Amino acid sequence: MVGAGHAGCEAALAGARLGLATALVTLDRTRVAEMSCNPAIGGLGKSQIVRELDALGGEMGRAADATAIQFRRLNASKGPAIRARRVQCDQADYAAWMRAAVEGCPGLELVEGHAVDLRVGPGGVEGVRLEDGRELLARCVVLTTGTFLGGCLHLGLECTPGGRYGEPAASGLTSALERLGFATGRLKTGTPARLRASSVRLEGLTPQPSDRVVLAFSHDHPPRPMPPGVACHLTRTTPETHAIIREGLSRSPLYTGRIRGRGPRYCPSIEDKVVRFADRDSHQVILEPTGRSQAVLYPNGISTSLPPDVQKRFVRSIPGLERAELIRPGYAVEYDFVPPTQLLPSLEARRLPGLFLAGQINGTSGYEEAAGQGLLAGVNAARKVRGQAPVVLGRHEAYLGVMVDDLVTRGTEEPYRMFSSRAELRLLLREDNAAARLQAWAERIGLLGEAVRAARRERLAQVEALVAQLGELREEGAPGRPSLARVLRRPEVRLAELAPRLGLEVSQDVLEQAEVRIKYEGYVARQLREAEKLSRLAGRPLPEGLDYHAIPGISNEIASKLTTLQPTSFAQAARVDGMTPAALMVLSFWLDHRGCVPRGTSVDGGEDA
Amino acid sequence: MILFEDTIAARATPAGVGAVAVVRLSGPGARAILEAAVRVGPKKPWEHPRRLVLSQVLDAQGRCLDQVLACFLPAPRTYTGEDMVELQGHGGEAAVGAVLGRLLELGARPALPGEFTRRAFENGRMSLDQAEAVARMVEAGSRAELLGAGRALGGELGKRLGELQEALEVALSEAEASLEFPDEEDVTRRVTVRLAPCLEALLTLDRAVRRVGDGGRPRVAVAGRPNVGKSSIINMLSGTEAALVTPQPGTTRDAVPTEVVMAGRALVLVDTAGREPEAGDHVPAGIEGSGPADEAAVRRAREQAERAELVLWVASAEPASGDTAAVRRELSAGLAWIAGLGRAGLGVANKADLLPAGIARALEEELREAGSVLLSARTGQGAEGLVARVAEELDRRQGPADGLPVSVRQAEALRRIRGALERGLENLERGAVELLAEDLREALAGVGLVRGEGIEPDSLDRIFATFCVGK
Repeated sequence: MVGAGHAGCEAALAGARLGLATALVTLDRTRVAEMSCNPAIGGLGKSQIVRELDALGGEMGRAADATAIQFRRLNASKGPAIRARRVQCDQADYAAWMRAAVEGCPGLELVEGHAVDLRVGPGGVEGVRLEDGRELLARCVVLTTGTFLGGCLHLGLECTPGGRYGEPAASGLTSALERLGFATGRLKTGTPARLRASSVRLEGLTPQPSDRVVLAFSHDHPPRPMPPGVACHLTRTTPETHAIIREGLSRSPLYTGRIRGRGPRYCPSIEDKVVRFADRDSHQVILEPTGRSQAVLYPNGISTSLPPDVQKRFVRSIPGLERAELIRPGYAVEYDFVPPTQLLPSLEARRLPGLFLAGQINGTSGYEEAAGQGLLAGVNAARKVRGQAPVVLGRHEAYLGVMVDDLVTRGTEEPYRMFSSRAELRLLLREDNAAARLQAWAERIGLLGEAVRAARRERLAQVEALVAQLGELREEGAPGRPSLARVLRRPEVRLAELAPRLGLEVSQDVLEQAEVRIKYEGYVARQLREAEKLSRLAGRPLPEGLDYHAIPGISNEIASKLTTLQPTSFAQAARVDGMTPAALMVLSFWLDHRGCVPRGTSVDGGEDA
Repeated sequence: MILFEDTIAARATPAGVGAVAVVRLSGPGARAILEAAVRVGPKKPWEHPRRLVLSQVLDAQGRCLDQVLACFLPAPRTYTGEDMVELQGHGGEAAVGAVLGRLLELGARPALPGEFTRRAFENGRMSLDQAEAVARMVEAGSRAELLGAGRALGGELGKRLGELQEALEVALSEAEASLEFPDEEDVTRRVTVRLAPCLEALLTLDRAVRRVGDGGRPRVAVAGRPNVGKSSIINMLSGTEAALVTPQPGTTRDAVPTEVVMAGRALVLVDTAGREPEAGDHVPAGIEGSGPADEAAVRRAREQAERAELVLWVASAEPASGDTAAVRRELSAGLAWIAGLGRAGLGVANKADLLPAGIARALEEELREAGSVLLSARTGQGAEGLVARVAEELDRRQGPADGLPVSVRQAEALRRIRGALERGLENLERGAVELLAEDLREALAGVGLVRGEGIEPDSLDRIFATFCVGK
């Protein structure tokens, strides 16, 4: 595993825990699992990923639970499918926890070094070459290079190689990949300045306190009370802030064309917001403590790559920050990525067997997205070594499945962040039922110990029993009344209020799962029917090595995309950009009549897809 | 882009003898087949595209089968988007058959019904709603219907659907933004504002369409007890002696469809059998049979009523001489029977000519209030009123005669959109924005069904373009 960030740690832990000799290469062992941007885990669309990770045996959820200093449940007043957990962690504690997990993991060796090349043999990848001449031989290699791959930090018009503030970049690997025939691209992201808390005046700003009860990411921890003390504070930019930023645009790397890489639209820099939404004279800024000691504040909302003097002036034009001291400035980072359509759904490279990619190298953004891919890449690398079939999660099973499918099928033009609207079956892919959805996969993958698995099975059985019970129970025991399950479908009825009256004694977690399941039943059933249609179509395999240009009736553009992508199924082909129903029809017709799929095999979709 | 490899041929004019018959070819082989099929003078049709060139179609032995005007239309600016050939020949069955046969010998394949239009759709020459409009245009039985189909072919249906889709996508992105970026406040109000244009666009669309039944034309069944003049009414409306009329009750045994154009609308009138009522018959037993032959006819009559868009219940106005209420009772009993079949009904009191003028006026007034009509099929008195009422009922059920025609499939999709939006409003009221988002997706899928294409709304693109989001 090359790179000890959030993807690399999960990949390495998964590989080692599955019993394989694993090395995790990092430039600096003191910076393992660093939170390069704000120290928050979870959030909308992301907390589901952390829960899924935990369901499959990943580490991120436990680490976040153990080091949380602030917790909020987002969208708490909205429907359960879109509720999300979000914690702020103590940045140092989090990294320390993860480093301890890595260093304490049997079979996992943390190697300090600079990976510059891949060793490749006739059968695929054979290992990694380090700058100092060492070679690490391996049956599988997972690259999780983050922003370090060809990284370049922009601070005003100055640009210096680097992967993170004060840290060097990883050079060499990009050209190694290009020599091997991989296409590469460039992306950009950014982060705001960090402020010394003692220089900030918080009185008069709106506090945003933690929720009093923390819901754990981990399925094995019950909710617990949050120790009081850490709050965020809200402030806003002013017209003066915007004027200073506009003046500074002539020295902005973004607005002078120095940055080529595409940045994330959902996380624009403050100069972007000021320019693109010129009619707004104020934007929200959230001051988030980065640790228990609350010595450093992360000003969420003003990420920037303007020169330090401009940064200092605009920061000080914001109420509460008049005397703020910048511990370090904000900056933008440009880095190399490998467009992920070059990967199989297992995250293994199509053109180089044994090479897996995960995290920002695949064009994603976010700790959670990285960790999720890391786990899958680590598991699949281990399974490949063992000769087992890869784990590929379906879009109807997990956000992780949606993400990987989006990446390998459609690729991405900007840093890819998870949004709940990316999941067709959002009502089914919830935080509360992650363990239930992924139970079968978790058993198959085998990262969880028997005791944990047994406890989880027990809880799932309780949910099943409770749902069944609610289908039979009637309020006040009146036989003519609707079942409690029916009553519960009314939005204003809460199971937590019914439960004590009924003498139901189950944990809050079980109660919530049963309730949400019943409330969404109708919609989910309809969506599942749709999903089933999808999977029937998905069941139809597409032969490998098909030259789509040879099929009459498919436009050159689509034929090129399909030939490059080599989708393994119709469902995957259907999601290719620009694919039309007519072209799918032609494809299916062509396969029926002279296709490479021999008649009599599972043309209509067997179990093998 | 070549989508189809084979070349299809068919006659484009109806079967039967006419002055001119047109045979069409479409596909990549159209030109080669034309070159092989004809003898031409110095001017060759394939060298003068889009011109009519006098040519002779020859058989394999070089004998002339017909003299034709040949026109070569090169792709892609043709109806199907492929190379096409049109041959205008003499309209005799033998000549057309021989020409078509020769084209098939040379490698063309007989076209399936609607295949030219299907190719036009597949080749991107027209959208599915336009392709369906072509079918409607061919079927149109009246000027108003033709105008409606023409507007649909011109893309008006597509335009209206586009407006609805745009409104739905805007509402969806508003809903999604409130879920993905929950800092924004007062979601319900903002999403409600976005839903209004969706409902408006759907309403406009609903009013603009004419729902065409599976058989194309709406069926209007004429039912009632024997000898109330059902067949006479049909004859009056169609201006022919289509239905056999005798003073003998129960002459009509089989439902006979008659095509007529009424108030700008082509429809099919269906006569149904009748029967003498028996003593103590509370249900209007007008169409129940007594003998085995009657029973079969009666079963068919019931089926006709069930298949009809509108059922006229005809009663005799004669008893009104004694008591107008008796006529009203008979009509409302008949209408109740029709309602029981789940169909729309319209009451008609016939034989107004047998009533004294004063009573006729009083009865007409009473019937009008109940939505029914007083008529004399014999004199034609009240015919205009009946036609107007039939048109009104069909308008209500199907949409205006000159509306944009939509098929059963499309009408079903429109219903699905309406259902989804109604559910969405309820969900929004309860604050369940995530369910509203599902409903809006469902509505968009419905728009896709009407259009015949999948719609994948990219609400993220819209959100990023419209909202200032992110940390």
